[in-house]
Amino acid sequence: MSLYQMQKFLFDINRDPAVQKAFHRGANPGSFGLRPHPGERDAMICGDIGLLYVLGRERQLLISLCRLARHGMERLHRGHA
Amino acid sequence: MEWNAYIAAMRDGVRSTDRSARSVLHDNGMEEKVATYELVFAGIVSTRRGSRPSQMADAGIVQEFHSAFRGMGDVWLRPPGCARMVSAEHFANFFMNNMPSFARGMADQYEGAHRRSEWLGIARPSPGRCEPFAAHDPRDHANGGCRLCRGWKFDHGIMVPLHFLTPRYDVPVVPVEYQLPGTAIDPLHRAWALGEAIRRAADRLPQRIAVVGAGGISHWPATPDSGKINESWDREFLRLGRPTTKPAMLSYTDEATYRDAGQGGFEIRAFIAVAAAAGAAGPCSTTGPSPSLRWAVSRVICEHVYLDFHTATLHPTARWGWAGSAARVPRPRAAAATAMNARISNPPCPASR
Repeated sequence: MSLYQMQKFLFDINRDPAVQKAFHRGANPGSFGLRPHPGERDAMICGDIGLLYVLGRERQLLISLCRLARHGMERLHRGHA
Repeated sequence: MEWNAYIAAMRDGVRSTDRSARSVLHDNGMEEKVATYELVFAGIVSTRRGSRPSQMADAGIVQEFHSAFRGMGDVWLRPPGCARMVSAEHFANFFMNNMPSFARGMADQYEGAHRRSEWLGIARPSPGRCEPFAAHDPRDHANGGCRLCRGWKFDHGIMVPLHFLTPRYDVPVVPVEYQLPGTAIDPLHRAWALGEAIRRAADRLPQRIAVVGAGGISHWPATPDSGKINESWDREFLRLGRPTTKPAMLSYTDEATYRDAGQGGFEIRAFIAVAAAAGAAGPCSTTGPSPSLRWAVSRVICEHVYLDFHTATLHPTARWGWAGSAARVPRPRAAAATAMNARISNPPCPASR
């Protein structure tokens, strides 16, 4: 998955309630048309900001993801899976 | 007018000197006398409300900061007029495939806190739009490089100031944002031109206009250095950052800002735009308080912004160990990089998808 694709996905999670809801309910990134590397996928699911930063994600997008991680992205995901 | 008297007058609603007849020259050569209120306030505020202040910052300082924030709302507009909010784009409205340098909202309705409301502890109100601006001459903003947008979602850069300055969200708002994401950020002189355009537009409107810039000074959000600030850099910029010191404000280079103030330091564009709106195009008012006086208001908030940054963790990087008071002493970059690189090969959260 390209850097642009992943950042666009993070943008959609931040901005689109439908995408956010689907993701939190356990939708696989593949269902959004993405083919993430396992590390990328895990970082997204776990809200691993550090790993996403190292992978080159735009910091302004990570700011939002920080908030998601704080409020339990992983918990939300697993709770609704 | 002395500062204390100015504050008292604003709180009492005594602004008899605001209303004056001014000449507006139209394109057809006709000169029209109109009553204007001009720019009545220009200031800078923090976009942070202190994340989990009870846990991450000294309660006294947070209370002082919030009190100053609310106090600013007591004096910035009375009676309510229209607020022009200048903030950075945080991927709330635009993405990399379509990112204008500057943009201004002219929507029929605004949506507040577009991201999860619990992030900010702010609900999703809909601040009113500013009618006069919706009918303004678009050339005022085109000259400042501003694109007009009929849809807009407010993020923390606008919602946090509104939360404190207009708790009831009863002041019409016009959002103005400058591009921050990415690498091709507009030079500072264009931010200055944007501020001048805002001032020109405000001067043409028969309404009391306030311009509020929202942003930070030095900070490194969403990086291993999150929570860090550069106190000396901040104080030097605040010392130079006045409406009358254009050359000094524009002398900052992006390279030096990134090195000394992090990518968050690029938000000085809001300071510069508001400084230009406050003073570059002439006195704010021929009869009201001087621009420097109004700028003093923003300086107060800036000082508190510093305190807020200094004591409150900017972002919840607890997974890295920078949360809480440890934010004052960020880990060395090398150690952080090593830790994160190790995580690449050994993800900490095996997903079960």
